[in-house]
Amino acid sequence: MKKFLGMAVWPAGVLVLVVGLWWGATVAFGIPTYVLPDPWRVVEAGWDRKESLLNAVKISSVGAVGGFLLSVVVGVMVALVLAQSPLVRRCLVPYTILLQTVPVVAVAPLILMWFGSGLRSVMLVVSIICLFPIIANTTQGLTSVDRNLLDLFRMSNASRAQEFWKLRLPHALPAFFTGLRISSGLSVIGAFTGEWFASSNAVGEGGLGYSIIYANSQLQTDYLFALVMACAVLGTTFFLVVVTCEWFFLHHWHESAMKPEGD
Amino acid sequence: MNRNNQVGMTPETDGAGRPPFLSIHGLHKRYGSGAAILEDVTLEVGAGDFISLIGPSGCGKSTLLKLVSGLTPITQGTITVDGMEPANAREIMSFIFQDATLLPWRTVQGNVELGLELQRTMTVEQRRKKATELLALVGLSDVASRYPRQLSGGMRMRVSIARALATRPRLLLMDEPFGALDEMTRDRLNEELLKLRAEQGWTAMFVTHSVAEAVFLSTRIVVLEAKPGRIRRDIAVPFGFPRNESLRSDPAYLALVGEVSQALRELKKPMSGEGGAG
Repeated sequence: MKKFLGMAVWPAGVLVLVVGLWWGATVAFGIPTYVLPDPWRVVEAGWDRKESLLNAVKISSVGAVGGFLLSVVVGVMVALVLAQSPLVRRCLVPYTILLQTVPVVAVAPLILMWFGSGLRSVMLVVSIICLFPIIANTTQGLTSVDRNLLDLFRMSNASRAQEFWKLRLPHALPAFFTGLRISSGLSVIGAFTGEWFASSNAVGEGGLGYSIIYANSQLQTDYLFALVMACAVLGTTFFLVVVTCEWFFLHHWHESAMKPEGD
Repeated sequence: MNRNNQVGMTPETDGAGRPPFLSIHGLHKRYGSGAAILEDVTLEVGAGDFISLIGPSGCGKSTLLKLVSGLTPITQGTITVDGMEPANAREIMSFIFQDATLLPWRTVQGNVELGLELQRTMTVEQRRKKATELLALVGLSDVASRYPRQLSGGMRMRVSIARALATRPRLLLMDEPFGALDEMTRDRLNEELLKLRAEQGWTAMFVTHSVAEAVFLSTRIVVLEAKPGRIRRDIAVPFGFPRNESLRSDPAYLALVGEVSQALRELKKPMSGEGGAG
Protein backbone atom coordinates (compact mmCIF):
# COMPACT_ATOMS: atom_id res chain seq x y z
CA MET A 1 0.00 0.00 0.00
CA LYS A 2 2.84 2.31 0.91
CA LYS A 3 4.48 1.46 -2.40
CA PHE A 4 1.25 2.25 -4.22
CA LEU A 5 1.01 5.63 -2.50
CA GLY A 6 4.60 6.33 -3.47
CA MET A 7 3.75 5.48 -7.05
CA ALA A 8 0.65 7.70 -7.06
CA VAL A 9 2.08 10.78 -5.34
CA TRP A 10 4.35 11.96 -8.15
CA PRO A 11 1.89 11.70 -11.05
CA ALA A 12 -0.75 13.34 -8.84
CA GLY A 13 1.67 16.19 -8.18
CA VAL A 14 2.16 16.67 -11.91
CA LEU A 15 -1.62 16.75 -12.37
CA VAL A 16 -2.05 19.46 -9.74
CA LEU A 17 0.74 21.48 -11.32
CA VAL A 18 -0.67 21.26 -14.85
CA VAL A 19 -4.20 22.11 -13.76
CA GLY A 20 -2.79 25.03 -11.73
CA LEU A 21 -0.86 26.40 -14.72
CA TRP A 22 -3.88 25.96 -16.94
CA TRP A 23 -6.11 27.83 -14.55
CA GLY A 24 -3.44 30.54 -14.04
CA ALA A 25 -3.10 31.03 -17.79
CA THR A 26 -6.82 31.46 -18.39
CA VAL A 27 -7.01 34.07 -15.61
CA ALA A 28 -3.74 35.88 -16.33
CA PHE A 29 -4.21 36.25 -20.09
CA GLY A 30 -7.99 36.61 -20.05
CA ILE A 31 -8.46 33.81 -22.60
CA PRO A 32 -12.07 33.58 -23.81
CA THR A 33 -13.96 30.49 -22.69
CA TYR A 34 -14.66 29.26 -26.25
CA VAL A 35 -10.89 29.10 -26.89
CA LEU A 36 -9.72 27.70 -23.55
CA PRO A 37 -12.20 27.28 -20.70
CA ASP A 38 -10.73 27.22 -17.21
CA PRO A 39 -10.64 23.85 -15.41
CA TRP A 40 -13.67 24.53 -13.22
CA ARG A 41 -15.86 25.33 -16.21
CA VAL A 42 -14.83 22.03 -17.77
CA VAL A 43 -15.81 20.13 -14.64
CA GLU A 44 -19.03 22.09 -14.48
CA ALA A 45 -19.89 21.42 -18.13
CA GLY A 46 -19.25 17.72 -17.65
CA TRP A 47 -21.35 17.61 -14.48
CA ASP A 48 -24.24 19.58 -15.97
CA ARG A 49 -24.48 17.17 -18.86
CA LYS A 50 -23.41 14.06 -17.02
CA GLU A 51 -26.21 11.95 -18.44
CA SER A 52 -25.33 12.52 -22.08
CA LEU A 53 -21.61 12.34 -21.20
CA LEU A 54 -21.97 8.98 -19.47
CA ASN A 55 -24.18 7.74 -22.27
CA ALA A 56 -21.50 8.69 -24.81
CA VAL A 57 -18.87 6.92 -22.68
CA LYS A 58 -21.05 3.84 -22.51
CA ILE A 59 -21.61 3.73 -26.26
CA SER A 60 -17.93 4.25 -27.03
CA SER A 61 -16.96 1.56 -24.50
CA VAL A 62 -19.20 -0.97 -26.18
CA GLY A 63 -17.67 -0.08 -29.57
CA ALA A 64 -14.11 -0.18 -28.26
CA VAL A 65 -14.46 -3.39 -26.24
CA GLY A 66 -16.46 -5.15 -28.96
CA GLY A 67 -13.93 -4.24 -31.65
CA PHE A 68 -11.03 -5.08 -29.36
CA LEU A 69 -12.41 -8.55 -28.57
CA LEU A 70 -13.07 -9.13 -32.27
CA SER A 71 -9.46 -8.22 -33.06
CA VAL A 72 -8.20 -10.56 -30.32
CA VAL A 73 -10.13 -13.50 -31.75
CA VAL A 74 -9.16 -12.76 -35.37
CA GLY A 75 -5.60 -11.72 -34.47
CA VAL A 76 -4.88 -14.90 -32.51
CA MET A 77 -6.29 -17.06 -35.30
CA VAL A 78 -4.15 -15.27 -37.88
CA ALA A 79 -1.08 -15.60 -35.62
CA LEU A 80 -1.73 -19.34 -35.26
CA VAL A 81 -1.75 -19.67 -39.04
CA LEU A 82 1.38 -17.55 -39.44
CA ALA A 83 3.20 -19.58 -36.78
CA GLN A 84 2.81 -22.77 -38.82
CA SER A 85 5.81 -22.25 -41.09
CA PRO A 86 8.29 -19.68 -42.37
CA LEU A 87 6.80 -20.12 -45.84
CA VAL A 88 3.35 -19.14 -44.64
CA ARG A 89 4.86 -16.10 -42.96
CA ARG A 90 6.74 -15.09 -46.08
CA CYS A 91 3.53 -15.30 -48.11
CA LEU A 92 1.23 -13.49 -45.69
CA VAL A 93 3.19 -11.07 -43.53
CA PRO A 94 3.33 -8.35 -46.24
CA TYR A 95 -0.46 -8.27 -46.17
CA THR A 96 -0.68 -7.99 -42.41
CA ILE A 97 1.62 -4.98 -42.70
CA LEU A 98 -1.02 -3.36 -44.91
CA LEU A 99 -3.22 -3.28 -41.82
CA GLN A 100 -0.65 -1.07 -40.19
CA THR A 101 0.19 1.16 -43.15
CA VAL A 102 -3.18 1.94 -44.74
CA PRO A 103 -4.69 4.74 -42.66
CA VAL A 104 -7.91 3.66 -41.05
CA VAL A 105 -9.44 7.03 -41.99
CA ALA A 106 -9.05 5.92 -45.62
CA VAL A 107 -10.91 2.68 -45.02
CA ALA A 108 -13.60 4.02 -42.72
CA PRO A 109 -15.73 5.59 -45.52
CA LEU A 110 -15.76 2.22 -47.29
CA ILE A 111 -16.90 0.46 -44.14
CA LEU A 112 -19.62 3.06 -43.74
CA MET A 113 -20.69 2.43 -47.32
CA TRP A 114 -20.77 -1.35 -46.93
CA PHE A 115 -22.09 -1.75 -43.42
CA GLY A 116 -23.97 1.48 -42.85
CA SER A 117 -23.68 3.69 -39.80
CA GLY A 118 -23.92 2.25 -36.32
CA LEU A 119 -22.15 0.14 -33.77
CA ARG A 120 -21.23 -2.65 -36.19
CA SER A 121 -19.16 -0.31 -38.35
CA VAL A 122 -17.53 1.30 -35.30
CA MET A 123 -16.45 -2.11 -34.05
CA LEU A 124 -15.00 -2.95 -37.45
CA VAL A 125 -12.91 0.22 -37.47
CA VAL A 126 -11.71 -0.56 -33.93
CA SER A 127 -10.73 -4.09 -34.85
CA ILE A 128 -8.80 -2.96 -37.94
CA ILE A 129 -6.74 -0.61 -35.79
CA CYS A 130 -6.20 -3.19 -33.03
CA LEU A 131 -5.42 -6.16 -35.23
CA PHE A 132 -1.81 -5.59 -36.23
CA PRO A 133 -0.18 -5.34 -32.78
CA ILE A 134 -1.95 -8.52 -31.73
CA ILE A 135 -0.97 -10.45 -34.86
CA ALA A 136 2.63 -9.22 -34.85
CA ASN A 137 3.30 -9.81 -31.15
CA THR A 138 1.50 -13.14 -30.85
CA THR A 139 3.24 -14.52 -33.94
CA GLN A 140 6.57 -13.39 -32.61
CA GLY A 141 5.82 -15.07 -29.27
CA LEU A 142 4.78 -18.34 -30.90
CA THR A 143 7.84 -18.55 -33.14
CA SER A 144 10.63 -17.25 -30.90
CA VAL A 145 10.91 -20.36 -28.73
CA ASP A 146 14.45 -21.25 -27.64
CA ARG A 147 16.06 -23.82 -29.95
CA ASN A 148 17.19 -25.93 -26.99
CA LEU A 149 13.68 -26.11 -25.56
CA LEU A 150 12.39 -27.35 -28.91
CA ASP A 151 15.20 -29.92 -28.95
CA LEU A 152 14.27 -30.96 -25.44
CA PHE A 153 10.70 -31.61 -26.57
CA ARG A 154 11.91 -33.52 -29.60
CA MET A 155 14.20 -35.64 -27.42
CA SER A 156 11.16 -36.56 -25.34
CA ASN A 157 9.26 -37.59 -28.50
CA ALA A 158 6.72 -34.85 -27.84
CA SER A 159 3.80 -34.67 -30.26
CA ARG A 160 3.06 -31.47 -32.18
CA ALA A 161 0.09 -30.91 -29.92
CA GLN A 162 2.23 -31.23 -26.79
CA GLU A 163 4.77 -28.87 -28.28
CA PHE A 164 2.03 -26.35 -28.92
CA TRP A 165 0.16 -26.55 -25.61
CA LYS A 166 3.05 -27.10 -23.28
CA LEU A 167 5.71 -24.97 -24.97
CA ARG A 168 4.69 -22.52 -27.71
CA LEU A 169 1.47 -21.29 -26.17
CA PRO A 170 2.75 -20.46 -22.68
CA HIS A 171 5.91 -19.04 -24.23
CA ALA A 172 3.80 -16.71 -26.39
CA LEU A 173 1.74 -15.33 -23.49
CA PRO A 174 4.00 -12.39 -22.55
CA ALA A 175 4.24 -11.22 -26.17
CA PHE A 176 0.49 -11.72 -26.60
CA PHE A 177 -0.15 -9.47 -23.62
CA THR A 178 2.22 -6.85 -25.01
CA GLY A 179 0.04 -6.84 -28.11
CA LEU A 180 -3.10 -6.56 -25.98
CA ARG A 181 -1.64 -3.66 -24.05
CA ILE A 182 -0.88 -1.69 -27.22
CA SER A 183 -4.27 -2.53 -28.72
CA SER A 184 -6.21 -1.62 -25.58
CA GLY A 185 -5.03 1.96 -25.95
CA LEU A 186 -5.67 1.91 -29.67
CA SER A 187 -9.20 0.58 -29.21
CA VAL A 188 -10.46 3.87 -27.78
CA ILE A 189 -8.79 5.79 -30.60
CA GLY A 190 -10.45 3.35 -33.00
CA ALA A 191 -13.87 3.83 -31.43
CA PHE A 192 -13.43 7.56 -31.61
CA THR A 193 -12.38 7.45 -35.29
CA GLY A 194 -15.14 5.02 -36.14
CA GLU A 195 -17.77 7.24 -34.54
CA TRP A 196 -16.40 10.19 -36.39
CA PHE A 197 -17.42 8.48 -39.62
CA ALA A 198 -20.01 5.92 -38.83
CA SER A 199 -21.74 6.75 -35.58
CA SER A 200 -25.47 6.57 -35.66
CA ASN A 201 -26.68 10.18 -35.39
CA ALA A 202 -29.98 9.25 -33.82
CA VAL A 203 -30.56 11.08 -30.52
CA GLY A 204 -28.70 9.42 -27.64
CA GLU A 205 -26.83 6.95 -29.85
CA GLY A 206 -23.67 8.90 -30.60
CA GLY A 207 -20.53 7.99 -28.73
CA LEU A 208 -17.68 10.21 -27.62
CA GLY A 209 -16.38 10.77 -31.15
CA TYR A 210 -19.75 11.90 -32.37
CA SER A 211 -20.36 14.08 -29.31
CA ILE A 212 -17.03 15.82 -29.77
CA ILE A 213 -17.82 16.78 -33.36
CA TYR A 214 -21.17 18.04 -32.19
CA ALA A 215 -19.74 20.04 -29.25
CA ASN A 216 -17.13 21.52 -31.56
CA SER A 217 -19.71 22.65 -34.10
CA GLN A 218 -21.70 24.34 -31.29
CA LEU A 219 -18.57 26.03 -29.88
CA GLN A 220 -19.23 24.26 -26.54
CA THR A 221 -15.52 24.18 -25.85
CA ASP A 222 -15.93 23.44 -22.15
CA TYR A 223 -18.04 20.34 -22.85
CA LEU A 224 -15.62 19.36 -25.60
CA PHE A 225 -12.81 19.38 -23.03
CA ALA A 226 -14.88 17.23 -20.70
CA LEU A 227 -15.44 14.73 -23.53
CA VAL A 228 -11.72 14.64 -24.39
CA MET A 229 -10.96 13.87 -20.76
CA ALA A 230 -13.58 11.16 -20.71
CA CYS A 231 -11.75 9.64 -23.71
CA ALA A 232 -8.49 9.73 -21.80
CA VAL A 233 -10.05 8.13 -18.71
CA LEU A 234 -11.68 5.43 -20.83
CA GLY A 235 -8.42 4.56 -22.66
CA THR A 236 -6.49 4.44 -19.40
CA THR A 237 -9.11 2.22 -17.79
CA PHE A 238 -8.93 -0.31 -20.64
CA PHE A 239 -5.18 -0.28 -20.43
CA LEU A 240 -5.27 -0.92 -16.69
CA VAL A 241 -7.77 -3.76 -17.09
CA VAL A 242 -5.44 -5.45 -19.60
CA VAL A 243 -2.38 -4.88 -17.41
CA THR A 244 -4.25 -6.43 -14.48
CA CYS A 245 -5.12 -9.50 -16.54
CA GLU A 246 -1.50 -9.71 -17.63
CA TRP A 247 -0.32 -9.54 -14.07
CA PHE A 248 -2.77 -12.25 -13.08
CA PHE A 249 -1.45 -14.66 -15.72
CA LEU A 250 2.25 -13.85 -15.66
CA HIS A 251 3.31 -12.55 -12.27
CA HIS A 252 4.48 -15.95 -10.99
CA TRP A 253 7.12 -16.36 -13.59
CA HIS A 254 7.63 -13.54 -16.05
CA GLU A 255 9.88 -10.53 -15.50
CA SER A 256 7.66 -8.00 -17.28
CA ALA A 257 4.76 -8.65 -14.95
CA MET A 258 6.73 -8.65 -11.72
CA LYS A 259 7.16 -5.85 -9.29
CA PRO A 260 10.76 -4.89 -8.71
CA GLU A 261 11.96 -6.70 -5.61
CA GLY A 262 15.43 -6.46 -4.21
CA ASP A 263 16.49 -10.06 -4.58
CA MET B 1 50.65 -45.40 -12.04
CA ASN B 2 49.56 -48.07 -14.43
CA ARG B 3 47.25 -45.78 -16.32
CA ASN B 4 47.52 -47.61 -19.63
CA ASN B 5 46.33 -51.05 -18.72
CA GLN B 6 43.43 -50.12 -16.49
CA VAL B 7 40.89 -48.78 -18.93
CA GLY B 8 37.46 -48.80 -17.28
CA MET B 9 34.96 -50.68 -19.42
CA THR B 10 36.21 -50.25 -22.96
CA PRO B 11 34.73 -52.49 -25.64
CA GLU B 12 37.58 -55.00 -25.27
CA THR B 13 36.80 -55.58 -21.62
CA ASP B 14 33.06 -55.82 -22.13
CA GLY B 15 32.94 -59.39 -20.92
CA ALA B 16 29.95 -60.85 -22.75
CA GLY B 17 31.42 -60.06 -26.16
CA ARG B 18 28.34 -58.03 -27.06
CA PRO B 19 28.61 -55.00 -29.32
CA PRO B 20 29.49 -51.86 -27.34
CA PHE B 21 26.64 -49.87 -25.82
CA LEU B 22 27.32 -46.86 -28.01
CA SER B 23 29.17 -47.23 -31.24
CA ILE B 24 30.11 -44.57 -33.77
CA HIS B 25 31.65 -45.67 -37.06
CA GLY B 26 33.17 -43.63 -39.89
CA LEU B 27 31.06 -40.65 -38.96
CA HIS B 28 31.12 -37.59 -41.22
CA LYS B 29 29.06 -34.46 -40.75
CA ARG B 30 28.76 -31.38 -42.89
CA TYR B 31 25.99 -28.83 -43.16
CA GLY B 32 24.84 -28.38 -46.76
CA SER B 33 27.84 -28.07 -49.01
CA GLY B 34 29.97 -26.41 -46.32
CA ALA B 35 33.22 -27.67 -44.87
CA ALA B 36 33.19 -30.89 -42.83
CA ILE B 37 32.39 -30.40 -39.16
CA LEU B 38 33.33 -33.96 -38.26
CA GLU B 39 35.47 -36.28 -40.35
CA ASP B 40 35.84 -40.03 -39.99
CA VAL B 41 35.00 -40.23 -36.30
CA THR B 42 34.98 -43.73 -34.86
CA LEU B 43 34.35 -44.26 -31.17
CA GLU B 44 33.10 -47.12 -29.06
CA VAL B 45 31.71 -46.56 -25.63
CA GLY B 46 31.01 -49.34 -23.17
CA ALA B 47 28.03 -49.37 -20.84
CA GLY B 48 28.82 -47.41 -17.70
CA ASP B 49 31.60 -45.36 -19.27
CA PHE B 50 31.86 -41.65 -18.64
CA ILE B 51 33.35 -40.11 -21.80
CA SER B 52 34.42 -36.48 -21.92
CA LEU B 53 34.80 -34.76 -25.27
CA ILE B 54 37.27 -31.94 -25.19
CA GLY B 55 38.82 -29.77 -27.89
CA PRO B 56 39.03 -26.25 -29.31
CA SER B 57 35.97 -24.36 -30.54
CA GLY B 58 34.79 -25.71 -33.87
CA CYS B 59 36.00 -29.25 -33.25
CA GLY B 60 32.43 -30.49 -33.49
CA LYS B 61 32.11 -31.89 -29.99
CA SER B 62 28.64 -30.44 -29.50
CA THR B 63 27.70 -31.57 -33.00
CA LEU B 64 28.80 -35.09 -32.11
CA LEU B 65 26.48 -35.01 -29.11
CA LYS B 66 23.59 -33.77 -31.27
CA LEU B 67 24.24 -36.57 -33.76
CA VAL B 68 24.18 -39.21 -31.04
CA SER B 69 20.93 -37.74 -29.72
CA GLY B 70 19.37 -38.04 -33.17
CA LEU B 71 18.45 -34.35 -33.19
CA THR B 72 20.75 -33.72 -36.15
CA PRO B 73 20.90 -36.02 -39.18
CA ILE B 74 24.11 -37.88 -40.01
CA THR B 75 25.86 -37.08 -43.32
CA GLN B 76 27.74 -40.37 -43.53
CA GLY B 77 28.61 -43.24 -41.22
CA THR B 78 26.65 -44.98 -38.48
CA ILE B 79 25.73 -44.46 -34.86
CA THR B 80 24.05 -47.11 -32.78
CA VAL B 81 22.85 -46.72 -29.22
CA ASP B 82 22.19 -50.08 -27.59
CA GLY B 83 21.78 -51.50 -31.08
CA MET B 84 19.28 -48.85 -32.17
CA GLU B 85 19.48 -45.88 -34.48
CA PRO B 86 19.66 -42.65 -32.46
CA ALA B 87 16.18 -41.46 -33.44
CA ASN B 88 14.73 -44.73 -32.10
CA ALA B 89 16.76 -44.64 -28.90
CA ARG B 90 15.33 -41.41 -27.50
CA GLU B 91 13.52 -43.18 -24.70
CA ILE B 92 16.82 -44.33 -23.22
CA MET B 93 18.61 -40.99 -23.67
CA SER B 94 18.44 -37.63 -21.94
CA PHE B 95 20.09 -34.40 -22.99
CA ILE B 96 21.38 -31.73 -20.62
CA PHE B 97 22.07 -28.38 -22.24
CA GLN B 98 24.52 -25.66 -21.35
CA ASP B 99 21.79 -23.49 -19.91
CA ALA B 100 19.23 -25.16 -17.72
CA THR B 101 16.46 -24.71 -20.35
CA LEU B 102 13.70 -24.84 -17.76
CA LEU B 103 10.17 -23.76 -18.56
CA PRO B 104 9.87 -20.48 -16.65
CA TRP B 105 6.10 -20.85 -16.22
CA ARG B 106 6.44 -24.15 -14.40
CA THR B 107 7.54 -24.71 -10.85
CA VAL B 108 10.64 -26.73 -10.12
CA GLN B 109 8.43 -29.76 -9.53
CA GLY B 110 6.57 -29.16 -12.80
CA ASN B 111 9.83 -28.89 -14.69
CA VAL B 112 11.13 -32.17 -13.34
CA GLU B 113 7.86 -33.85 -14.32
CA LEU B 114 8.05 -32.54 -17.89
CA GLY B 115 9.88 -35.46 -19.50
CA LEU B 116 7.60 -38.02 -17.84
CA GLU B 117 4.57 -35.99 -18.82
CA LEU B 118 5.62 -35.89 -22.48
CA GLN B 119 6.23 -39.63 -22.48
CA ARG B 120 2.70 -40.30 -21.20
CA THR B 121 3.66 -43.56 -19.56
CA MET B 122 2.92 -42.62 -15.96
CA THR B 123 -0.12 -41.45 -14.05
CA VAL B 124 -0.09 -38.00 -12.49
CA GLU B 125 0.48 -39.60 -9.07
CA GLN B 126 3.45 -41.68 -10.23
CA ARG B 127 4.92 -38.65 -11.93
CA ARG B 128 4.65 -36.54 -8.86
CA LYS B 129 6.21 -39.24 -6.71
CA LYS B 130 9.07 -39.73 -9.14
CA ALA B 131 9.79 -35.99 -9.34
CA THR B 132 9.73 -35.66 -5.57
CA GLU B 133 12.16 -38.53 -5.31
CA LEU B 134 14.57 -36.93 -7.80
CA LEU B 135 14.36 -33.52 -6.19
CA ALA B 136 15.37 -35.15 -2.94
CA LEU B 137 18.26 -36.79 -4.75
CA VAL B 138 19.60 -33.47 -6.05
CA GLY B 139 18.89 -31.74 -2.74
CA LEU B 140 16.11 -29.43 -3.92
CA SER B 141 13.11 -30.77 -1.99
CA ASP B 142 12.47 -27.49 -0.21
CA VAL B 143 12.29 -25.40 -3.40
CA ALA B 144 9.94 -27.75 -5.28
CA SER B 145 7.20 -25.13 -5.49
CA ARG B 146 9.45 -22.26 -6.54
CA TYR B 147 9.77 -20.91 -10.06
CA PRO B 148 13.07 -21.13 -11.96
CA ARG B 149 13.71 -17.40 -11.80
CA GLN B 150 13.83 -17.60 -8.03
CA LEU B 151 16.77 -20.02 -8.12
CA SER B 152 20.51 -19.54 -8.50
CA GLY B 153 22.31 -20.81 -11.60
CA GLY B 154 23.59 -23.88 -9.77
CA MET B 155 20.14 -24.79 -8.46
CA ARG B 156 18.65 -24.38 -11.92
CA MET B 157 21.22 -26.77 -13.32
CA ARG B 158 20.33 -29.27 -10.58
CA VAL B 159 16.69 -29.04 -11.65
CA SER B 160 17.80 -29.65 -15.22
CA ILE B 161 19.74 -32.74 -14.12
CA ALA B 162 16.79 -34.01 -12.09
CA ARG B 163 14.53 -33.55 -15.11
CA ALA B 164 16.95 -35.46 -17.33
CA LEU B 165 17.27 -38.33 -14.85
CA ALA B 166 13.55 -38.60 -14.15
CA THR B 167 12.97 -40.62 -17.31
CA ARG B 168 15.58 -43.17 -16.18
CA PRO B 169 17.95 -42.72 -19.12
CA ARG B 170 20.71 -45.19 -19.84
CA LEU B 171 22.71 -42.66 -21.82
CA LEU B 172 23.12 -39.11 -20.60
CA LEU B 173 24.31 -36.52 -23.13
CA MET B 174 25.64 -33.34 -21.55
CA ASP B 175 26.71 -30.28 -23.51
CA GLU B 176 28.86 -28.15 -21.19
CA PRO B 177 26.26 -28.28 -18.45
CA PHE B 178 28.44 -26.47 -15.93
CA GLY B 179 30.11 -24.04 -18.34
CA ALA B 180 28.23 -21.02 -17.09
CA LEU B 181 28.71 -21.68 -13.38
CA ASP B 182 31.35 -20.38 -11.01
CA GLU B 183 34.14 -22.76 -10.12
CA MET B 184 32.98 -23.65 -6.62
CA THR B 185 29.50 -24.50 -7.79
CA ARG B 186 30.94 -26.43 -10.70
CA ASP B 187 33.17 -28.53 -8.44
CA ARG B 188 30.29 -29.32 -6.12
CA LEU B 189 28.01 -30.30 -8.99
CA ASN B 190 30.79 -32.50 -10.43
CA GLU B 191 30.85 -34.45 -7.19
CA GLU B 192 27.08 -34.69 -7.05
CA LEU B 193 26.98 -35.88 -10.65
CA LEU B 194 29.34 -38.73 -9.81
CA LYS B 195 27.20 -39.69 -6.83
CA LEU B 196 24.12 -39.84 -9.04
CA ARG B 197 26.05 -41.93 -11.55
CA ALA B 198 27.09 -44.37 -8.84
CA GLU B 199 23.48 -44.75 -7.77
CA GLN B 200 21.91 -45.00 -11.21
CA GLY B 201 24.66 -46.41 -13.41
CA TRP B 202 24.02 -44.53 -16.63
CA THR B 203 26.57 -44.06 -19.41
CA ALA B 204 27.63 -40.48 -20.10
CA MET B 205 28.92 -38.37 -22.95
CA PHE B 206 30.05 -35.05 -21.61
CA VAL B 207 31.26 -32.02 -23.56
CA THR B 208 33.44 -29.59 -21.65
CA HIS B 209 36.12 -26.93 -22.03
CA SER B 210 37.59 -27.65 -18.63
CA VAL B 211 40.40 -30.20 -18.50
CA ALA B 212 40.18 -30.46 -14.71
CA GLU B 213 36.48 -31.23 -14.89
CA ALA B 214 37.01 -33.82 -17.63
CA VAL B 215 39.70 -35.63 -15.65
CA PHE B 216 37.68 -35.54 -12.45
CA LEU B 217 34.53 -36.99 -14.00
CA SER B 218 35.58 -39.31 -16.77
CA THR B 219 36.66 -42.84 -17.37
CA ARG B 220 37.94 -41.74 -20.77
CA ILE B 221 38.79 -38.40 -22.34
CA VAL B 222 38.49 -38.00 -26.08
CA VAL B 223 40.50 -35.09 -27.47
CA LEU B 224 39.24 -33.65 -30.75
CA GLU B 225 40.96 -31.29 -33.16
CA ALA B 226 39.13 -28.67 -35.18
CA LYS B 227 38.48 -27.99 -38.85
CA PRO B 228 37.64 -30.67 -39.56
CA GLY B 229 36.72 -32.31 -36.25
CA ARG B 230 38.71 -35.49 -35.78
CA ILE B 231 39.66 -37.61 -32.78
CA ARG B 232 43.30 -37.04 -31.91
CA ARG B 233 43.68 -38.76 -28.56
CA ASP B 234 41.70 -41.20 -26.47
CA ILE B 235 43.04 -41.01 -22.95
CA ALA B 236 41.96 -43.44 -20.25
CA VAL B 237 41.44 -42.06 -16.77
CA PRO B 238 42.62 -44.72 -14.32
CA PHE B 239 41.20 -43.44 -11.05
CA GLY B 240 38.65 -45.65 -9.41
CA PHE B 241 35.28 -44.72 -7.97
CA PRO B 242 33.95 -43.31 -5.76
CA ARG B 243 35.94 -40.14 -6.35
CA ASN B 244 35.71 -37.20 -4.02
CA GLU B 245 37.24 -33.78 -3.64
CA SER B 246 40.50 -35.18 -2.26
CA LEU B 247 41.23 -36.43 -5.77
CA ARG B 248 41.68 -32.84 -6.88
CA SER B 249 44.90 -32.52 -4.91
CA ASP B 250 46.21 -36.01 -5.80
CA PRO B 251 49.54 -35.78 -7.71
CA ALA B 252 48.42 -38.43 -10.19
CA TYR B 253 45.29 -36.40 -10.91
CA LEU B 254 47.33 -33.24 -11.40
CA ALA B 255 49.77 -35.09 -13.65
CA LEU B 256 46.91 -36.31 -15.84
CA VAL B 257 45.41 -32.78 -16.00
CA GLY B 258 48.85 -31.69 -17.22
CA GLU B 259 48.99 -34.45 -19.80
CA VAL B 260 45.56 -33.64 -21.25
CA SER B 261 46.35 -29.93 -21.30
CA GLN B 262 49.56 -30.75 -23.16
CA ALA B 263 47.60 -32.84 -25.67
CA LEU B 264 45.31 -29.86 -26.27
CA ARG B 265 48.27 -27.51 -26.74
CA GLU B 266 49.84 -29.85 -29.27
CA LEU B 267 46.72 -29.62 -31.42
CA LYS B 268 47.49 -26.06 -32.32
CA LYS B 269 50.85 -26.64 -33.98
CA PRO B 270 49.86 -28.63 -37.08
CA MET B 271 46.81 -26.44 -37.49
CA SER B 272 48.82 -23.25 -37.93
CA GLY B 273 51.02 -25.06 -40.46
CA GLU B 274 48.01 -26.24 -42.46
CA GLY B 275 46.58 -22.75 -42.38
CA GLY B 276 49.51 -21.47 -44.42
CA ALA B 277 49.25 -24.26 -46.98
CA GLY B 278 45.48 -24.14 -47.52
